[in-house]
Amino acid sequence: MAVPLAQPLAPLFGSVALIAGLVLITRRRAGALIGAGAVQAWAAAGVAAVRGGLGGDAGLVAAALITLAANGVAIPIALTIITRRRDAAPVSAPGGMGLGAVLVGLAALAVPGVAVAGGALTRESLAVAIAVGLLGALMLAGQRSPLAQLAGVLSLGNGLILAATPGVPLIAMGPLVALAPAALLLGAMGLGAVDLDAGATPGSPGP
Amino acid sequence: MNPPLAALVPCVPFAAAIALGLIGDRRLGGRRIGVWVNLAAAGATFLAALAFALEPPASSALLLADPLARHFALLAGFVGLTASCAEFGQAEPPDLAHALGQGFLGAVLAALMSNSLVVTIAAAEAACLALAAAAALPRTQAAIRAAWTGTVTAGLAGGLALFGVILLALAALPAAGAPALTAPALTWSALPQAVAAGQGGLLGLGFVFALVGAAAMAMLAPLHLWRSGREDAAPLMTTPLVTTLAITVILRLRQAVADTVDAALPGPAVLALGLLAVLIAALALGRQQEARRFVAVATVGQAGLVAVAIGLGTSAAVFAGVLHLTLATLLLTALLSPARTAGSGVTVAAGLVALAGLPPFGLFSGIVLIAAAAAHAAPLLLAPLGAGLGLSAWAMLARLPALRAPGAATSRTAPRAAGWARTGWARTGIIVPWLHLALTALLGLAMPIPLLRWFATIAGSLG
Repeated sequence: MAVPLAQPLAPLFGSVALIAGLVLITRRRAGALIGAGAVQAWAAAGVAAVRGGLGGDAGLVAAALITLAANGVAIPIALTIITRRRDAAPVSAPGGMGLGAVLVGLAALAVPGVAVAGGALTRESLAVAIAVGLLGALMLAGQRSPLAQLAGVLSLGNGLILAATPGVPLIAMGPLVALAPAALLLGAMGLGAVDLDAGATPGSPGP
Repeated sequence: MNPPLAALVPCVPFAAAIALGLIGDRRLGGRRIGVWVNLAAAGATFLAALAFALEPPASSALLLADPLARHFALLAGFVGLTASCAEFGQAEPPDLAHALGQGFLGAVLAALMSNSLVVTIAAAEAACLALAAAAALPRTQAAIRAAWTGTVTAGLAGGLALFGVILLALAALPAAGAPALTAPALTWSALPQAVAAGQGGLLGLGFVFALVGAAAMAMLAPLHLWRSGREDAAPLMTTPLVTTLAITVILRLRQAVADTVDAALPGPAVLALGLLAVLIAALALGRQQEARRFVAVATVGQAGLVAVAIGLGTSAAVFAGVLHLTLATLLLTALLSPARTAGSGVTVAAGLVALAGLPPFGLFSGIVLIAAAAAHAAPLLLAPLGAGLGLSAWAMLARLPALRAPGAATSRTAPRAAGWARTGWARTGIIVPWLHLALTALLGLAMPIPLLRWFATIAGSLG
């Protein structure tokens, strides 16, 4: 009975990750950014754990655990400590909800209308994964704020995890591709090597 | 050579990087111990790469030993060795530069020799991250900024490329009742067969993501806008190897999906990126004042020209592309040599003349072969390609007198550097770029028959 109960959880978690991605590109306060990033990581890890558990893929479950531990717990805690200690200024939103909606629409249009991996990954869930990855890429390429760029790296990594299915070899290495630069960026921020106020918006803290 | 010995090729520089990090600034007789360790490790890596190239083992799920991998592993090993020789002649290389240089070389070799797509992308990203870390070594505000941008770019490029790999894997899974892909199915050597029965739309999407990721690593226009300025920031002579690596990834991707994706996508997409890079680099070259930055922009143009050849996709074009990539790598690394002697100005001038594609240097042959392949496959392409190349050559020759030598000694370091330049050690630094220049002349204008067969074998294996 575990299979029918767990299966609908994957699209539910995927939707949560996408909403968190849209929240990420519109938030300006550091706390809100970190919170949305953590929620997205938990949701992405949930999707990977469900798929890995149902498909009996230990690599995918390992990838879920890495994502949960790093993107969902360790990095948000470290970021919270750094931003509180150094009083980070609010960041400018890279494009707002409108641009985010355009990217989500593009992702939906780009994915061909077929189920893959024997139905384990539907067109909609693949579109959600690509949309989350593209939103992360938008934050990386369009933002000057170090905090937002770090959130972009993590969002791109979460998108990778959302696209993973049982049977893709070496997928447990996927999180490392995003985690390695994230760790370096976090280290540079922690050491005070970068200006946390770069790209900050003047005036009110925003939403 | 058996596979465990082949693993030595990337493992030696990785081990050396750890050892150099631990040794730090310790000295013996006034010289840093790390300088000797760096040279010894580079020599061992080159010998291992030479053995791998001449007596290749069979490819496996993790190891790729096809002619392209062997050729570029040997080139990377050679450049690593000559860079170590040039750095040996340097008075005071920055702390950790040797460790990061060896780590970078190990990552490049691992990416080139790995048969797994995922490992290749991860290793290529590790190489970009090593460059970003090296860019921070001067510890100035500008250096930290360049390192930060480099890290962000590496994350973006690696993430997009891995997205592409995952989509390619998904497309390769049978549409219904799919069992798992096995690890050997997602290898470079098996990718064409794996995607042959794949879903065309998803393959195309995966190819686009992987291409954008690899193009960002290769700094192809318009993705050079995300460029980290790594050539002008990282104090490593081997920096252009990351562009070489990214271009080989694009070449493999293009050839793997050529027969399965809609024919209008892979070739024209790579060709358009390449042509755009050639034109944008040609326009930007005239504005550069400093030689190291000039080399960075020239790298974009050379990568673009090779991408044009890859986009054309014929055997002749691939032959020309691989030859041009080899020559450009030798030239660009020669221009980034850290030598600071009386002859370094002449060396830079000779390097730029070579980069402009003028005889007797070999880039001339590469350009002619690519233009001939273009004239045969797509004659209309010759007009924009010729304009871009002509403009590049003019910009290089026009800017030549005004360029400042890369990283000229500051007033604080000038006395020590001047004293060092009179020693015998410093001469090793000036010999290296001339060795690279001589090799480009030999390969371009008087290539020995065995080498000609070697390049033909590479092109044939990809055709």
